Amino acid sequence: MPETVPDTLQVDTLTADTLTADTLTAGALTAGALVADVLPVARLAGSRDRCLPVSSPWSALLPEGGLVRGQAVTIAGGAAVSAALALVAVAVQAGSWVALVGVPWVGVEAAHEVGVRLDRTVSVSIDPLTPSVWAERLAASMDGFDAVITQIPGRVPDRLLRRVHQRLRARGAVLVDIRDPTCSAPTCSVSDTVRDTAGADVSVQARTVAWEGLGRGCGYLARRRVEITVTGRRMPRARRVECWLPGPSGGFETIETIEVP
Amino acid sequence: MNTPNLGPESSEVLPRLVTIWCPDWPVIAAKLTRVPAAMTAGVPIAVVAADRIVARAPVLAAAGVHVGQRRRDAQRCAPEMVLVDHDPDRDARAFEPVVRAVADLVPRLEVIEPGWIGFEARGPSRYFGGERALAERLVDLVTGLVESPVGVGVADGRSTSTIAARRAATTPDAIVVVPPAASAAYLAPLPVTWLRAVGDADGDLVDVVARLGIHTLGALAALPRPDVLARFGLAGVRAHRVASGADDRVAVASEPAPERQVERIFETPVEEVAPVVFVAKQLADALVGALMAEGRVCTKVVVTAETEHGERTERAWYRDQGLSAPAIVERVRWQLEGWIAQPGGISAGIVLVRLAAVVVRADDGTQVGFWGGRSEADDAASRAVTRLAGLGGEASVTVPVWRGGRLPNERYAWVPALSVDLDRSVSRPRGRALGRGRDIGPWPGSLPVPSPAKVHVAPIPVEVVGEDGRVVRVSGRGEVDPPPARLVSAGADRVVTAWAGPWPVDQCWWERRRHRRLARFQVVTADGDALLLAVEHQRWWCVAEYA
Repeated sequence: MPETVPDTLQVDTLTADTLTADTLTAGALTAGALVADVLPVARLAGSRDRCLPVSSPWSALLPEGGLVRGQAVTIAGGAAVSAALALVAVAVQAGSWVALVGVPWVGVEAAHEVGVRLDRTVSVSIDPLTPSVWAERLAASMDGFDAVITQIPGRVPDRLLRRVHQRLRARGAVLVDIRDPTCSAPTCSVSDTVRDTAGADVSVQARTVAWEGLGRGCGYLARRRVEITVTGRRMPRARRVECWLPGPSGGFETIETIEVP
Repeated sequence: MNTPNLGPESSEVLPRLVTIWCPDWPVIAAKLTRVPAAMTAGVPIAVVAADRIVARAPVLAAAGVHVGQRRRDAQRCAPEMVLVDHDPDRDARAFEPVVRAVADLVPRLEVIEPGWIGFEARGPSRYFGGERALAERLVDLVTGLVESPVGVGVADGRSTSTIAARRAATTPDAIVVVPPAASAAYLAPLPVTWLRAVGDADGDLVDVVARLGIHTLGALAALPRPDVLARFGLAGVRAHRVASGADDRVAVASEPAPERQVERIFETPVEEVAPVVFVAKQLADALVGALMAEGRVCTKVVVTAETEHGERTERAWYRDQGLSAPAIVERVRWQLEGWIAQPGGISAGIVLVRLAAVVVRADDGTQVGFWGGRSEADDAASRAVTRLAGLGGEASVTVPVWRGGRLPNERYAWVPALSVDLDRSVSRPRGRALGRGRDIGPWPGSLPVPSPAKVHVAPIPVEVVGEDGRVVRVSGRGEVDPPPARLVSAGADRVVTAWAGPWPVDQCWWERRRHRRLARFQVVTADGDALLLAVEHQRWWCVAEYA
């Protein structure tokens, strides 16, 4: 990771050398939008980088500064869906496609607002939702899509999960599993999530701290403070950040980093 | 060249081509296949794809509805019209009988799209005793089969023939025969907007030309070609050629090299269309990939399929902009479904499918596609889409299309991914305009940004009560009584810490069936969750969550 990450990119300095995963992680959506308008990023940057690019709050949280291909990420908490969409936004801007497998309730307009390009979004509906059908469709999606967002159905046998993870590593896709967001109480500890990650490499807890803008009979939901805690297999200690999701300008921004004892 | 070109190059010989054109075929197809929305008598219908009008009944033209218009603008012009979603498969199925009937008369035809057939005039016109006789025979044939207006145009070259057929559709006897070498004179008085009919001159070029004061094709043809090239580039030269009566590109008549033909022979006959289409996708990818490596693109492909008993279907498909792999697969599917659905059907499984690229031309980069062209990721995604559609059915793989509305689940429609030709990005609003952007103005009555991240597929019934336990009611004047204090859902009783509303919706009040009157509320509960609630007929629902 470079020491200083530029937060605005000048168009004339965009060359094949500067166009790496590092520069792409700068400045969330502004960089993504700028690059997308100027150059076909997927061809220049090479579609088989080891990591998918992510926006700046995530690059400080994730162990390798990006979404490592072949890994599975579990997100739980009251802000899980928005966090999952924000996680894949920059990668989709940069040329990857995202599949929503078995999650018909994801708000597409919210995805668009956080920066996910809807012309690279595909939804796969599974009916009936049995573990074997889910695993089959997930495997087919991983063949063609770099990012797959799904919700692991209850009672999936271990052998199916292991096959899913093998396929994930073989194809180099990224799996984002949104846990049922019932665990939104502040008492939900990080260790609870680690226990039921079912083999995830990175585990995220996205907790809503407070919504701002709504009064009693007036106002509207405008901003939300979210606390994101990330733990993972190759992380010695947890990382935690408080951020806006969405913030005053509509994006996903860090407020402050919190030291985890 | 000192003199302005007023016709095709003298070395070019343009074949006489006949074009059969059924205007607004998607509308006719909706009626023929008995789409429920289209069956009310006396109500004009229009077909919509991705929020734009694709085809409309002729009576709507007077009201100001035209192809390419945004849905809301069209509805403003003609509120009584009924809208039907575009389904290219439905159009192709409805057009099959017409193609088969014309194929009985004319052995070698090519289908450009449902509603549009072209073929060479020389053989059939001699057989039927002249071009006019042939055209009359075709008009009788088509009008006898389907209740559709039709136009038959006979002229030198494909572009003039196309324009002639479209003009013929508006004349009483539905036939226009342009004498040989008289194309330029025929086209001269026509307005430049006719360039759009030919297929690849886009709206921007036509607008610029019109603003420069060139209003007729004759005026465009009178300009010296080198100047047109300098000012407008290759697209302008093509338009200039069309205006002069030539084809937009010089025809290349060469036999395809053997490797421009791909086929697959099945060891065990295949009874269903889906596996054959899956194989066709691989073949089409291989064919288009090989051509692209040479810098060429296929404009005419012949699709052949044979059964074990020797029954055969062979059809030529043409598209001016070049056929991409998904476009070829789409046409293979139409052809196979039409073949199997014909009276009598086929008596055995399919053993052979072959794609032959008959006419290829150098790819001069005018293919409309994604910005930057297709990348490896795009190709991988579209292969995965085909595979998933094969596993779960076409309707299981969908892409979001902007529709607009006041409730979160109405804003976007999910459209089967295979029915959207990913190359036709001109007809879909581009990335930015998919939800916001300069194109689409503010939607009156829409909810403020940020939008909820979790939108329930079916609204969940909840109860909202005040401090005293009474259910919260919203009066017609927007008074909320009592103020919400607790939210009861799924057995859990949560305290409401903040709320706002009512934001009323009163839509389609002029139509009893579709009238909806509800009020929306945003609510935050004690555990920090934010929800979007709606109350309709005094019943509360949770529509979405800000998860």
